[in-house]
Amino acid sequence: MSEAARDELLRLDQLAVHFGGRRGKPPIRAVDGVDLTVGRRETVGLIGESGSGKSTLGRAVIGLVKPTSGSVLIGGEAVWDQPRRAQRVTRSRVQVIFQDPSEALDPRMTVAASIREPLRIRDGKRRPEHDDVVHSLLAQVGLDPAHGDRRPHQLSGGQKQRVNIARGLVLDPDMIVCDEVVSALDVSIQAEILNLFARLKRERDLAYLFISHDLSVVDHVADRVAVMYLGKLMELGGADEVIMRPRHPYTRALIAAQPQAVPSSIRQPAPPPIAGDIPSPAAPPSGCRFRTRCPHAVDRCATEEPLFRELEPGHHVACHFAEEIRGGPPTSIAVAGRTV
Amino acid sequence: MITDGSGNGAGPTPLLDVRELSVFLPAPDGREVQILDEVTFSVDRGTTLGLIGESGSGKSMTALAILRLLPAGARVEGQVLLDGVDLLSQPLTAMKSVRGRRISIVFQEPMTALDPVFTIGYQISQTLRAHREFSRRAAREAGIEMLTAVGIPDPSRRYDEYPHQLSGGMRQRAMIAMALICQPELLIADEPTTAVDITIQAQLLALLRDLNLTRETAILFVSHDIGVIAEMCRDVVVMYAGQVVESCSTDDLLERPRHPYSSGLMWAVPRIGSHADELFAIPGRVPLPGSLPDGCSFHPRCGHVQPSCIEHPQSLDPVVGQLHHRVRCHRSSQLDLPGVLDEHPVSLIGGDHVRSSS
Repeated sequence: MSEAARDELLRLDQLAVHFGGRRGKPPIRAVDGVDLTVGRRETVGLIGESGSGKSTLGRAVIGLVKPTSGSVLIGGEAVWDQPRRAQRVTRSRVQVIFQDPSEALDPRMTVAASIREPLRIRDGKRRPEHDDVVHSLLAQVGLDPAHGDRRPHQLSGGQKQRVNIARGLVLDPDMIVCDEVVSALDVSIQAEILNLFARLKRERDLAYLFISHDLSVVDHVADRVAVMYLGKLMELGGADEVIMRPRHPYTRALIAAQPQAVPSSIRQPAPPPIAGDIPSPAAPPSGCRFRTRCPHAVDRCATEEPLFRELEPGHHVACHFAEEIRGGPPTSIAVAGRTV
Repeated sequence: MITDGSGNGAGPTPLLDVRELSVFLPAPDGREVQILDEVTFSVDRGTTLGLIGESGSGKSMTALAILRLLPAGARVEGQVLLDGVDLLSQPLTAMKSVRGRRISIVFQEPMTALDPVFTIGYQISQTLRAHREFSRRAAREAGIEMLTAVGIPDPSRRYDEYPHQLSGGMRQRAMIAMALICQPELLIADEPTTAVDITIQAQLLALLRDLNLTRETAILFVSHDIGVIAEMCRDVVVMYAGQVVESCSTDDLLERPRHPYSSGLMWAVPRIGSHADELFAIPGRVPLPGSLPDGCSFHPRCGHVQPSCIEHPQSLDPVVGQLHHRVRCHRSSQLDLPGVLDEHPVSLIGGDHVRSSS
């Protein structure tokens, strides 16, 4: 999809979310100046380690945290600048699904009541037609009508995540923020849920902001991929570009760290894993934030923060040396019978 | 090496030989529920064996049963031979000299496995002093040396710190240090990297591979992740609903799986660059212990089911011509199941290969 043709649904404009910072302590810069767009019917994957700020970014998009600076535009509307009533309407266009399907459901409410809740809040009271919507949604996410009368503890993890998906869809949103939605599921259930997301996208013209630490999942679902580290984007581009031809050393390190289910005959030795842990977002390194773990870092990286620049059309990288970092993926990746 | 279990004596005694290990737990209604069903595998000295399966497959229960750490009321049948000596037939007190000294275990969640009120160093040195004659000072030296070996920077300072002062990756390194301080012959690693980031996982796997090579510590690696098993383990055991359904070399499993469940597990995981439109989802879910289906436990979820699969349970038998590849499937000789190097298995999934995009 070309940049110009994209019908823009979400725009983050220099979004920053800082926490704390009172009484002389430095604030935690969870998100620190991110520009990102999501188009209609587009899936943008957001990857990074814990502490990268990816979940905080998702929470800022749906309005669970207020940005410190910058703006969140949904359908061109700067949400936080709107009056409260209008905010509510704008926000209903973006829904969220979280990682732990059990914690996201009220154990005292039946499945149907949970799914119905957003409609009841929107309309101010329960209406008979709500039940039809709930029934139709249960079917769409692959549950029986009988599941509607159950409570969360009577369901398996996969079924609970289906309930969360149904609830996310009930207001007919344009976009869903998926925050690690398959991380807690077994692989066979994960496959079912990922297939469900793909089908719903086709049927309902949905866009997703798909937050995950799992590269293979993101590669599977995403049209574009954003790589986040310590509150900033390191790389952004088409999924194939970013994952098969990564240009940022951090992206390369993430891909190299991905365990490969390939036999020893075609396994290529992975480069040594990057050392150390992600630094504290309260005291990010000067210059390039990744420099303390980067195998290519030089003095310049400590003094000069690399610009987030467009290297090729649609492919942005924040690294002084992105031009020199070329080549294919850093590990053996088996693609349907061959090694790339 | 996967022994054929018949004990026909080819080669040396394996370090760990688990034979027909069954575990029964009491259910709330007073009945007994079978959790493990004749689990059989072996680990040779200095080698790595992966135990893979989904939640409820019994892989963690197997690890606990080896160390006799099962919940109260559990009943165990079969044998767990360590160097030819059955751990299950010994008095429970004898396990004190096995745990931590000959077999150690590292769990998934280092924060619950470490005691928050004692320093890292105290917990490491206690393990050492429980099993060996070590003065406090000598134990401290050995502990710091071990922290260095597992790649903890500034080890003499970290030795005196508490678990909460360490990052998740560092805690797991400390757990590994604690597990290896007495130089055990076998390390059981139960999902040791599931709770950490992928970059930290890569560091820990590199560390464990290195320790396996340099210290010749055998590793029984429990994981749900076929990629991690492929990176870590020479041999692999696939578990489903409390049974071993396939055991072979990891390369054989990846290239030529013989059980539909093994093949399905590989194809359920999205793979980088594969561009599959749809993933192969194994239909249904793992049956609960105590309510297993008749015949082959996997038959309700299997795409290759035949009447015989429903009527008769299947034993774990060698694949024809491959003594070390064992599979529990009526139809394995008739099936040509896709491994990771095969083309997108249209027969399994159906549909086209087009990437979904807008």
